[in-house]
Amino acid sequence: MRIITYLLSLFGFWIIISETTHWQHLLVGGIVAVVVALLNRAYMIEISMHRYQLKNLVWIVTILGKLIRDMVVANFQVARIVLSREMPINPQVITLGCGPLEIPVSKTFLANAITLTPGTLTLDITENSFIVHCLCEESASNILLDDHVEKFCRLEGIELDE
Amino acid sequence: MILGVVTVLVLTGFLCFYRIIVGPTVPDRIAAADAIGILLAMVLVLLSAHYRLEILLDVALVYAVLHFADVLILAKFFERGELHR
Amino acid sequence: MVTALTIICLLGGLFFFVVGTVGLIRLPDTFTRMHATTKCDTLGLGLVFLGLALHSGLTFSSAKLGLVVLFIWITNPTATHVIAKAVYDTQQQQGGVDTDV
Repeated sequence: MRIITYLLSLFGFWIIISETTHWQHLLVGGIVAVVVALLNRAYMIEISMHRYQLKNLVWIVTILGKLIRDMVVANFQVARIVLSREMPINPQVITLGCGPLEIPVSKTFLANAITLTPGTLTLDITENSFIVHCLCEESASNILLDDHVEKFCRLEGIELDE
Repeated sequence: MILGVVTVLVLTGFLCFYRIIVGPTVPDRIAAADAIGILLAMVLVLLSAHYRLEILLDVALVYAVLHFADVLILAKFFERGELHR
Repeated sequence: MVTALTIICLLGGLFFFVVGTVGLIRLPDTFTRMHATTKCDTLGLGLVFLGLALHSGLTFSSAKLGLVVLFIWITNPTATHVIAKAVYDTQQQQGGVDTDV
């Protein structure tokens, strides 16, 4: 199943790069995609079969929408801080538990999301916690971070339970 | 219109270059180089839209990949050069 | 209408790029400088992509542009994280964390 997903994504990448839908291009792209997918079989990320469900897609779209909204908020916050005359920053480093996350892909995604949300920057990922650098006073960003992590953990928990 | 945006972006790139020259520590310079790389990919995309040159999009894609590897290598070199002196 | 949206998106992306660079110049610390550049460059890139995609419609070139933007959206926070981790580990090795420079 995951080899089929990998093959389809490779084929889509070929179509976008070659900018045509002529059948000769499609034939060559299909052969190349099959060969590359077979050669890279050993390096694929371990994701079990039952994760391919429609419900997970809905969750991922929800998370992406929240991520984009957070990015807009973060950018306006940075603009407000940078363009004000005295920059009201108070940087500090906090440690944040990441709950029952186990899959490296979800941890990576959550770390990138923390980097893109307002006032936070992921410094390090340890076994079960993130070390996060906060830009502003800790209270506001702390609440926001906890909310965010809880949402992600709920997604991953639901994914793990199924 | 697009050329004006490109002009302002290039001037912004010179501001980042100021940080590369002045920057007190090495990671400041690496972060500024990262910003310049993203900005140049953006300039390539805008120029391809203005001159209708599709090839510049491929250039931008390869440039983004190489830029990512570049920043990774710089950061790793910074870390190890400090550790195994 | 579409032209107006394109111009708004392009100018918004330009504004965020400029804000990120001003933050890179003005902020006092390595970590805070990385805050500014990462967030603003990522959203600025997305806004410029939105403007150009509105300009050219659903074609292969806008799909390729979306590929570029998706790649940079994934890799830009990762690159920042690698730099920040290098700085943080070096500070830990040299004893003590001095974040309030």
